[in-house]
Amino acid sequence: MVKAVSVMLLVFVPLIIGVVMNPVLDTLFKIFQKRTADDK
Amino acid sequence: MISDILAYVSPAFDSSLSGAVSIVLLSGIGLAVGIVAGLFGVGGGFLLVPLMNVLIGIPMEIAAGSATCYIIGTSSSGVMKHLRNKNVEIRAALFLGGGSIFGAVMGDILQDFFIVTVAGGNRELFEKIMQGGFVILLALIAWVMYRTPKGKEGQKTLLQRLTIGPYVDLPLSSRYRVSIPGLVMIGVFGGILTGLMGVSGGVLFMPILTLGVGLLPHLAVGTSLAVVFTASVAAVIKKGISSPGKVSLPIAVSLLVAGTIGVRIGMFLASKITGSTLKKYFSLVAVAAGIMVLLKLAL
Repeated sequence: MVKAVSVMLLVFVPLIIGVVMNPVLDTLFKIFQKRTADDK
Repeated sequence: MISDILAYVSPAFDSSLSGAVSIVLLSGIGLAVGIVAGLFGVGGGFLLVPLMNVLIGIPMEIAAGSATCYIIGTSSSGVMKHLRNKNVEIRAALFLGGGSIFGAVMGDILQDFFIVTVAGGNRELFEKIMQGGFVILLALIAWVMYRTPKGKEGQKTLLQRLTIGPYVDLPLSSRYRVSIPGLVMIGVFGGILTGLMGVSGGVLFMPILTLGVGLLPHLAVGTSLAVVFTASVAAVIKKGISSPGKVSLPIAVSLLVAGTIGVRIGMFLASKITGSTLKKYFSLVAVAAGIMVLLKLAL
């Protein structure tokens, strides 16, 4: 049981971080690029 | 029960650094590797394991296991994006992915074989063997990135010339009669790299998929990511069920959070720097990392 839950954590925690963090950072990055372009 | 799970997902190891210092250093390594990855358009996993081992003293098997966990996070959203945009040659990915699952399990078994049989349980000897392997791998990556081999259009690729059937057609890339055992073997090779050394091997995969299989570059990127994701999940499951545990979730999360931010910084820097020779500079990074591991090996 401990092993099963641990393996689930090892697979799903990075998966969720990757799936959530990347689109959020992509959006922030686009906003930042747009602002720097607007400033010019 | 919760304490048992926490102990399992963060295996203890000897390190001269305290926990907090290690986390700060790991985040720094993640950020630096992320910047390099974003700048040069590579995964950067092959820099992570030697850096963790040499700079922080994390044992090779835990560094490799945690790096595979990190790869799950870095490849996951890319795979989803490429699948949505139909940038994955599904038939090729199925055979490559099948091979990579087998390879990832074999790679971890091979790692245990090196620890128990070749090194006879001698940790120092095992570290040296792995460091030697990384020197060779980094030299190979530097050479591949420097040369950037090119194929001739219209010619049959290696896997089309391979007369070992059965065969599969890859219509998106207009490649027909591609050897299935050849595809599976490439997957096994990538999987072994992931299971044994904790690297995705994406840098080596790209020329193999474009020149050896004949996939179009944008399909090679998506297909490679799908295979890397499959191999890393298989490797983490295999390493996760082995005793003692070889994957540290705190290490992987520290690297992942900092690395994901680093990739965006690297991509921003890359958009400011233009020039087709940018990738060639990457071979210098690989050479520098190789020299660092070589020095550690010699001292």
